[in-house]
Amino acid sequence: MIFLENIRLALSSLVANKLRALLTMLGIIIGISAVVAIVTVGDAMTGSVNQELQAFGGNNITVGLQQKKQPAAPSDGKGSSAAGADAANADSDDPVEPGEADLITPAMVGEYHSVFASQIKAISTSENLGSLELSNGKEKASVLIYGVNADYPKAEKLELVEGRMPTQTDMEESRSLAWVDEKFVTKYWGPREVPKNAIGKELNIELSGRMAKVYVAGVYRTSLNGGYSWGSEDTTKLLLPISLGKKLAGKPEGFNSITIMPATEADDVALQVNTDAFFSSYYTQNRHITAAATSNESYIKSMNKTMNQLKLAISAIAAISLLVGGIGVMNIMMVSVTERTREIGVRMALGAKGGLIRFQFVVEAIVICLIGGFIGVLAGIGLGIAGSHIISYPVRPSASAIVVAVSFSAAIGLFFGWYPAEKAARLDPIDALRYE
Amino acid sequence: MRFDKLANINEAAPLISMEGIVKTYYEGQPEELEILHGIDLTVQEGEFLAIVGESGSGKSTLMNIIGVLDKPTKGLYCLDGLDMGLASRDAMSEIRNRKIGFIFQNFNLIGRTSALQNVELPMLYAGEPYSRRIRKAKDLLESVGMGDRIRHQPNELSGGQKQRVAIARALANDPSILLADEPTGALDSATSRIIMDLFHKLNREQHKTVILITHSKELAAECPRIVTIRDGYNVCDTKGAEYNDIS
Ligand SMILES: Nc1ncnc2c1ncn2[C@@H]1O[C@H](COP(=O)(O)OP(=O)(O)O)[C@@H](O)[C@H]1O
Ligand SMILES: [Mg+2]
Repeated sequence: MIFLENIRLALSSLVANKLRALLTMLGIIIGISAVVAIVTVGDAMTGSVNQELQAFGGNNITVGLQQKKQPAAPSDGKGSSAAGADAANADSDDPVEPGEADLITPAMVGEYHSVFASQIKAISTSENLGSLELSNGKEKASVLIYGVNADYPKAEKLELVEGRMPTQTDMEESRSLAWVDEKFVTKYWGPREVPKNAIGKELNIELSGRMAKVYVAGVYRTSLNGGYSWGSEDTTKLLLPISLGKKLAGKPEGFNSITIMPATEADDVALQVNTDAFFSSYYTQNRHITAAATSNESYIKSMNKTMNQLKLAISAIAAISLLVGGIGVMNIMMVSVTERTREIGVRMALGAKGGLIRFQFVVEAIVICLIGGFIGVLAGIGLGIAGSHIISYPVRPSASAIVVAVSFSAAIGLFFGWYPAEKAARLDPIDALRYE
Repeated sequence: MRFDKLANINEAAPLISMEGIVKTYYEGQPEELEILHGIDLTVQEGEFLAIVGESGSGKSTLMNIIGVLDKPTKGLYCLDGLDMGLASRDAMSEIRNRKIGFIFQNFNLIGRTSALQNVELPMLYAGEPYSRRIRKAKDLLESVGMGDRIRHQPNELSGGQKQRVAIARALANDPSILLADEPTGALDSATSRIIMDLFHKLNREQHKTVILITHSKELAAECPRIVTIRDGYNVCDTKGAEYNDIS
């Protein structure tokens, strides 16, 4: 009940000095609102970046061919033999395109699959076979023709709309089948055509001058929500069994790149390192080309790290604002104690012990800070929501940030209110009563 | 309550017993100032006593010691048979809270706090539950004729009304001593009369020990006993007309 009485007292003294209280709270309000807003906007930014990257292929590992780095010329950068060095650099910087002999072979992939079977969900191989404009006399639709293996839909997060997905048998037998995007169906066969009717339809395609008939075996939908689109909005991918596609396009059997989808329980980072080691071991004898495994995971991690550093930096500024706010509270509490010296003397004469007087002023400081913190939280939520809408990834303000901010403001009150309160508690009742 | 029990061990002990009380300000410093030079004073329960003396003679200093706000530099002060020289700061607060009711010249009500809440304060510090505080505070304000002003804040009351609220507040924990330092000093004669009558009534009907500090000879003359302080010595201790009958 003394506690409630003290809160009442604190509130009534705040009401009596509204402007003073508001000015005192300003530092706290700014600091707390900054923290809450930053955490909210930071969550939104991290969320939107992660969302795009996840859609793009999440934690997939891509193994691709790249040029080996040449050891640097020994006389580099001295400038004494400029002409000679230039010539040498030009030589080593010459891009070397991977030749047919450098490609990742199906044998390597098979070997990899058997070694890492427990850690991977899918290995997707695909080959871009070129773009094409299909026409049935009435409608036209441009497509990118891809040769894909049976794991491709899984790795690329394709959803089946109608028909079936490619199978291992389709690959082995190089069946004349095709899979089309649901957008392609309406574009090519008219807006009222349903995907179901597309199944079994015949498509005439031309690859490297060779004509071929393929039959639609399935209609898929990409689950990539926005973010990345290949070419124009209406260009969709037409998928063929990779064996058929390569045969038609006259391409070699090997791959420029493959995509590995780690199993859910796998350690993505370790798998990436091991995968890199596995494939590059095939290229130790190769003079120019090697295979390297990269993953979005590391990109996401470094992105998150940057975000966290940014949050930390702005939070440090907010902390300084809170410190300044706390000092303001301390100052106003010193003023309040001095102004109310006589009142303190009367309270002591009536029997208030020092501890109780200290409690009264600490509660007052905490009440000031909590009200400031509360206003700050509201302002921070407002700013944060506005900010997250601007980057069009609305998030809810983090409850934990709010709880931390509010308790932190109470802690500021306790910390900065303690000294003035202690000063009040130590007053001599006689001196306090005589104070003018 | 602890102190009451201890006091009861010695039934004969006077309420207040002071021997050779010396008060020195700035002790040990060059500007050392001895205000009280050895006051002896004994007060029995239920007395109505006036302490008179010129301004600056040390009356308030003596009152602070009697009221356990301060400790004497030298000498023995026993309240209810307890040596106040040994009391800790917190114990002094508790004794003030339970045994002493202060009434000041300038009222000293707490600002921005209603009359009712002012009267509640000593009970709040004593840990009384809310309902009892409210009931008692209302009764007390009623008894000093302030029953219709309980929600008023000090700045909405006249001087005489403030002093009546202060008296109600002084009575909150049923103290045995009412210590009034120039209680009518800031009041006109008509209101002074009301306040003095209140003290007489409390002394007569509730057996309260009243110590009235004043420089006014007329007011002192109303009191059954008058102690005169001059330059820090108590020079005479006269009985007023006669003791009020205590029964
Ligand atoms: N806290 C103090 N510090 C220093 N001197 C004081 C203090 N309190 C009182 N005095 C001095 O003691 C003397 C007596 O004061 P006081 O007891 O208030 O007299 P009275 O109440 O009789 O007018 C005065 O000269 C005053 O200056
Ligand atoms: Mg005085």
